[in-house]
Amino acid sequence: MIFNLSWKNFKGQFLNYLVYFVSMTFAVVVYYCFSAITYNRNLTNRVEQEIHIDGAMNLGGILVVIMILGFMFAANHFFLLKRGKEIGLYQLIGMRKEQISFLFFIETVILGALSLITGIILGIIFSKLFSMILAKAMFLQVESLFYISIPSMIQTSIAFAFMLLAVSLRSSWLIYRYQVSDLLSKKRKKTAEIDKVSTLSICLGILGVVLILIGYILSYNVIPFATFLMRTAFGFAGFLIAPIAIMFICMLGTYLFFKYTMYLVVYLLGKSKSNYYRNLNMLALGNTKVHIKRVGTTLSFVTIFIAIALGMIGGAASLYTIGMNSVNITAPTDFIVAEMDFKKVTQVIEKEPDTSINSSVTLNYKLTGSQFHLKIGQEVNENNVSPINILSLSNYREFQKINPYLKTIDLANKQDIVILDSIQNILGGFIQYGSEFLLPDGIKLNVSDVRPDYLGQELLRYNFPTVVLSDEQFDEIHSGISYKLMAFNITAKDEEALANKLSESVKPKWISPIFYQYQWRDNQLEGYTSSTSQQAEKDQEFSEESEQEYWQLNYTSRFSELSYERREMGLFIYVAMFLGVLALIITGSILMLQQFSEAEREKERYDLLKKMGVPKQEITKLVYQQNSIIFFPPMIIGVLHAAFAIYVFSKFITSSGYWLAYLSCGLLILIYLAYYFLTSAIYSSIIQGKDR
Amino acid sequence: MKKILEVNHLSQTYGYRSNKVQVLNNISFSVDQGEFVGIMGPSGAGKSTLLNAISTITLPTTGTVRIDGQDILKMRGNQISDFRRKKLGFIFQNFNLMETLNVKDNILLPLAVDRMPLAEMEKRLMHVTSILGIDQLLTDYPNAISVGQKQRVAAARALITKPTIIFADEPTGSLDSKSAAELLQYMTNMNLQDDATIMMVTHDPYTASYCNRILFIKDGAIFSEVVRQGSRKEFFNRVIDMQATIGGGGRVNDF
Repeated sequence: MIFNLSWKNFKGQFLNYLVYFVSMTFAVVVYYCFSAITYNRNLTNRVEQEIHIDGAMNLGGILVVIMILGFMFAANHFFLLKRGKEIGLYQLIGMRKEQISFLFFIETVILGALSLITGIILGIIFSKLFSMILAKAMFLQVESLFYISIPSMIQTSIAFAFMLLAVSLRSSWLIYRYQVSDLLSKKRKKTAEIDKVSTLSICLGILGVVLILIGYILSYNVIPFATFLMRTAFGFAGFLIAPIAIMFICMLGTYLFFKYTMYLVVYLLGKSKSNYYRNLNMLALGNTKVHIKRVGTTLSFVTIFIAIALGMIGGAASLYTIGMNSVNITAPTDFIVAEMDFKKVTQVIEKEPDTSINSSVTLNYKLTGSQFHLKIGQEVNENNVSPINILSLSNYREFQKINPYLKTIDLANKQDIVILDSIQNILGGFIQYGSEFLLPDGIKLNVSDVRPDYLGQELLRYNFPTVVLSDEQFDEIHSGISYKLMAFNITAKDEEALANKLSESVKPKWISPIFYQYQWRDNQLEGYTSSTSQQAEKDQEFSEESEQEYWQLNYTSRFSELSYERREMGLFIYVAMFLGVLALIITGSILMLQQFSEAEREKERYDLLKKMGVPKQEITKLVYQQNSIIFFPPMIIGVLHAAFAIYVFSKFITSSGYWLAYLSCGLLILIYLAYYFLTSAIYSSIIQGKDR
Repeated sequence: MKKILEVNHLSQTYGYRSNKVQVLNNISFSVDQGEFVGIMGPSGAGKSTLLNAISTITLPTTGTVRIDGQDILKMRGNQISDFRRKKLGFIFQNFNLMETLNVKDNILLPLAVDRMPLAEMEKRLMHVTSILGIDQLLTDYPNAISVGQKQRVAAARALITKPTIIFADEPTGSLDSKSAAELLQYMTNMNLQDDATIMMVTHDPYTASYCNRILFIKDGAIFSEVVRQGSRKEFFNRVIDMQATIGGGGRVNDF
């Protein structure tokens, strides 16, 4: 009998069930797609040798579950709100609350099972699309099939069952709280004293804007701010504390903004009488006040969520470009090989069919000691004594012909040098060199410029800084040792096969150790660099004075570097984008569902307006106005937050990949505009009755 | 007297072929300026349907309705909105006040939609609130005042636009008897002092006794009409009798 009643109810409220069903199906599709990629053996098998794809995916999976859970709660809330009358009716005919909860639980299970099946079927179709996108992002030549993954189906089912249980528990709790009187009389809304604005809330409202502005100013001047923090008790940790502090200030500011500032603004707008009593302005303002009281907290969390999602995409984008750029840094030409292994490598390459070496340059490096000043951040002024690599200008220019990343260098004087610094590639602005380099035999060099280092893998050069100087000066340096690196490009049909064959026959390894020991004594640099150890026995204790040993890497191959970075970074950016865009879509959906609940509640009010003779256009205008307050502030503030967050990133890490983050900001605006118009249109149709 | 409302051969049918229900059946009547007309009848007689049909809310199946000489059934879209705003006032059983606005703003809302100058608004506000005795409540919010006061606020909102006719659908339906009596007294004031034409649907004879004239409806047709001549007490008794007659029993027509 009860189930019969419930079935009748189902037929009556088909549309509500449909909305709920679609929401749940969407959740399943998203989860399945994510987990299918984790289990997509075809894809992961190729990657696994190099990267642990599972780690990134699992973290992403947890985030997806959290987001979906939030979304399902919102959908469930909307659904229950629409069925309040039904719950009241069941109580009225004398059903116990356990029975009602059980009924709803059964319903959730049936509906959940249906959406699980539909979701998985749709997921199988969509996961092909997603894995195609992923393969594209990772530059893999994978044939992506309609991959039916049993483990990911099981995983999706378990995760979804868990989520349904959570949702059911919540709806049971709501049913237990439900009073029959709710059905008969409308709940008295707590709208007391909405006219009054206390001094405290004025202060908090102003504080909200001030905090956000402080956050923006600090993030605009993040480097001085971080330096300032480093000077205080935090020490070097200040460097990390700065962005966290800015984030915290902005989060607090956002909360206060949505709780108090917006209210204050609305209050002040209502102060102008002539404006207040125009059209539906007073109604718009009055409604907005109540809205803000009710959804202020939700809006502030949505905004923070959006900002974090966009910031995350920004961070991922910068890491992506750093990763891809690092290939150009470590392997600017197809191969760079140390002299010792050059023969072996060329033999392997020449054995391959359709493969030939195009252009080759021999780089003659000298390695000798030097003394120079190094400034990290704006604080520490270190007096460094360490070997440096020296390259002659003519040799550099020769290399420039086959290495497109090298910029032209001109040296005016004989003593001028240009430092090629790998840290400059990423953390620009944090490291500064003093203007002088002192070499053994009293040679003094002047720094004329500091450039990013595109000479290839530093480990080939014993991981020491490199300077370029004039040929005359180069010839005059006789201390230390010299060594050769061969850089060359090839033309090959199958670069992947070549790289694999090469890594089998010539294993990457450490070769040709050097030993050095330098000291700064009587304004003179004393010490040696040698290919054999000059110390009879090794000191157990490590000290500045003792001899140090460094090794060199034997070769780099551009193709293997590139494919590694592409896979790692492609996966990374894909997961970040997936989560980021999902966050945007889900927050938008939550706001939309919330507005639909609102429309159900406010139907009567809008009906009154119509009877009062307010033209339809005016009512529609009011609806759009009310919805804009829900969608636009989170969108605008979220984008602003994200823009400043990306700015902070760009100060710490130089990268050209921020366009992706700005693209995501644009995407947010598009998604939210779409949600805004869709919500407003549906809202209008909910409140428009059938009457004339 | 000027005819404010003219209803001719109004019929309303719901449903399709097999289960057609004739809710209103060929109703014709007219209301003059300054009249306080009541519509009475048992439940399901079609009172509310009639009110909706003559107040532009729904479209009747056949017939004509003229308010102030204008055929309201031929109106479309914004014409209806403009007409409602300028010529009609509504009072509902459940008040329908905006919870988010205070009393003053609730009353001024229809004028604001019409973009009236502030000075004129204030003047009218003073006038209607003094007629309805709510001039002390202007800054209160609807949830802070009594039900009787709420309905008076709703009445003030209907009156402030100086409508040609005010439609009241069971205005005392949610009120206790004391508030109801008060409200009706105030509505009578509106009718007498402002010469407002009021058309009220009710099923309560006591409420109806405040009218000048009452139309009784039974099964979708006008059953009879009672006009007040003497005191309210005497009128009330005649209403009771008529109601009893419609109900099928009572003192006049014996069992």
